[in-house]
Amino acid sequence: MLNTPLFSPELEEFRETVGEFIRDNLPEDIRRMVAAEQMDLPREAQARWHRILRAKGGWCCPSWPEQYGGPQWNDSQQYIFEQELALNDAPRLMIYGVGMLGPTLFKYGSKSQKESILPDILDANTFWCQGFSEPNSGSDLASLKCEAQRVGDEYIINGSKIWTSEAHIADWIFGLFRTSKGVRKQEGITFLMIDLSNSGITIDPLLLFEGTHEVNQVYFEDVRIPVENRVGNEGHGWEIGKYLLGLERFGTAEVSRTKASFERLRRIAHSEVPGGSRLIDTPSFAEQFDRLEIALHALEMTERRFLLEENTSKSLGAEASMLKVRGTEIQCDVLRLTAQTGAHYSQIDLPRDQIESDSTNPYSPGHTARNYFNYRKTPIYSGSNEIQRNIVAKAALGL
Amino acid sequence: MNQIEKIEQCNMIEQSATRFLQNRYPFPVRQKLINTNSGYCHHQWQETADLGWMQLPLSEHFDGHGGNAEFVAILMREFGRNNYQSPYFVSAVLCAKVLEKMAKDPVRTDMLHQIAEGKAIVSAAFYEKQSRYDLCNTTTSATQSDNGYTLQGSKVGVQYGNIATHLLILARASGDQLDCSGLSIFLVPKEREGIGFEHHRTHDGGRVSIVQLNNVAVERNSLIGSEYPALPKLQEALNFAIAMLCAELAGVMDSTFKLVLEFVKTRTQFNSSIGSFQSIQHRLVDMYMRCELATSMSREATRAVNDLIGPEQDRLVSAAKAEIGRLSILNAEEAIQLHGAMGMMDEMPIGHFLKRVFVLNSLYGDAEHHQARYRQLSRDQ
Repeated sequence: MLNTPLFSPELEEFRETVGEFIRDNLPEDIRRMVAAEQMDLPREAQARWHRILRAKGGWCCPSWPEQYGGPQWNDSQQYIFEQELALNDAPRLMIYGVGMLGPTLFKYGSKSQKESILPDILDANTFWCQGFSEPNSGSDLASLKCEAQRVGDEYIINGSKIWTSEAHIADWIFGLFRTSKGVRKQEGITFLMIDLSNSGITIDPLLLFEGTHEVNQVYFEDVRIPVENRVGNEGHGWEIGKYLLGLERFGTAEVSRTKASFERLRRIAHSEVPGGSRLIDTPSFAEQFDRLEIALHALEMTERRFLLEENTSKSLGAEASMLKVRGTEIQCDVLRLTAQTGAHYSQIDLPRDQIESDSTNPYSPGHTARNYFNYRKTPIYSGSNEIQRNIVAKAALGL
Repeated sequence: MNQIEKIEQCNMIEQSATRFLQNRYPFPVRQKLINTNSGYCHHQWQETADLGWMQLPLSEHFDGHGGNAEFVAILMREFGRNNYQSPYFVSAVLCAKVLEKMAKDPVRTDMLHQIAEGKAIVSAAFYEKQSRYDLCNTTTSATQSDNGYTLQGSKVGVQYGNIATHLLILARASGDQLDCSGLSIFLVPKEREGIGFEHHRTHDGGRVSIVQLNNVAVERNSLIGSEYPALPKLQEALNFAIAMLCAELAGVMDSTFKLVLEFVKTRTQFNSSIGSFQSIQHRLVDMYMRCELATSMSREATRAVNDLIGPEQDRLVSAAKAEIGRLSILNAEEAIQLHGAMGMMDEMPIGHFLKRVFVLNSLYGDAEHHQARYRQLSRDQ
């Protein structure tokens, strides 16, 4: 394992404290799901863990200020906390409500929106999902067409949103809707929040090719919502959406998650197989293993530099994009190499609930390639890596 | 057969396979079939036998088509293009080759007839848990008994063990665990007492078994070949089979590339087809080049098993599997990426090609294994 620089003694003590709490309080059934690289936890499991952190001084919302129930941590503390979550196989934070909508409302929400929405996110009473992509608006998000027509004190929504993660377990959706056709397509987009129990909403599951149900298509047919559910001004949704996506890109590099995956790979590589040789003693494997470890270290140090050392008040544009591109590439490489460790066992497809998440034995049917297939979504989602490169070219290089 | 006849023959095989697979094995049918209990349709299997597919790898002596690897490769490439799942590879290619090269008559003639007619499905039980892809690393033992042999041990990666009628089992008659000599192959009917199966589904919709051999008594004539050092002959049969996997992978690459090309031409973003963007064009060009390289290496593998012998054949076959392995993984991942989220959908064929590529790579040596084998065979070069 490569040496990584320590933080200050106070921060290292903070790491000890939060790490210990996570290890002592994380329910074993949830830990096993996360250790199996499962990204889409059942709502019940997410809520259970969220409430354990909630009871511990609002740790469920590490980026939230004290006035909304958060722990009021600085950037370094948040970073270390999220690292400890990942390294101890704790679930990802609830990205849509906690990571995205909350901070968006701090900045753009009305007083009554903050009062009515934030407490339910904090208590995991309300689950949110995000409605951005549409069937013909993926990379070209600004071309979105799902329409919100203003009639009196209401908007009437018609159209559909696609690739909506967790819509099937969510109560509300926030997203970008077309309120007018401006000169530029970025104009006329409005940020709205919609109760999914409204009549006129249909949620269709979309299966991923390795068999999981994570994403959906959400259809709106004459769905009426009150004007109060608009965040910011009408037509200003693009700016808000960009701000919100910036929050998402902050975490999509998943560096610490990949470190945890790499540690699982390390345990497999070093496990003794009766009558066989350890994988790490095979030169061709060891070379790939080492190369990935070094690449991961370079990524981690770059992440620290971008997030903690540079002037953190500036919004992360190109930096977050670079981290997302490289982070997802390395993440996929780690999971591919892990999948290949099984040789004849790699091809075996077991139902997810039979996968032994903690197995260090590459030669058991519990060790599968499912995660490798599933994580091919990461260079695509949350702004494909192609779009991220466009952002870097424009924002950092002025091209 | 002169050159013109050969080309005609190749075209005929390709057209017949394309017609059959496009009519009888379109993507929705495939998805239905792999989700049935056995993952296979006996009726369709029999139809392919009637088409003469199973005779292609066999020499004329066994009512075959001469066993020219070129002809089999044409068929396997079509399998790849259509993501066709069946026991054809393990039974009619690999095990038939082992029997043809190593078995003695009358067992040989009888079994090859049965395979050619689709009546027998033979699977290969060569590898073990600890062996990875090293055949020398074999602990399953064959002990002489009064009437024959007793087999004891366990085997992994037994393709379509669920529907096999027979197994070819690699077992050690003498020597230490890592000795490359002292290995023999036995042909054993699947129902024999003492054989236990653990059947699994594979990611690409095939089936694979883990097999336990618990004091399995077999007759003297179930020993395939007279000599104990089974490996050199077995390696020849494996080389033939691996060359056919290369052809299949080249076929998968061909289809995935065509799907992506079609997709980038029709998918519109930013008011243009995404194929009009230079960065996408370059990605497609790279994919296209990889397809061409894979086609060349697939042909090289076929040439190796047709025209070369010994280490020269081994090296070229390993070079091909290593190179095509890497190229095909890269292309399959790119194919998904260029489809965007559509590429992750179960209802789209594209992700299922990635699964196929992944599994084909893991069969009979992945790219790393063949790269290492290549180095070993090239030690003095």
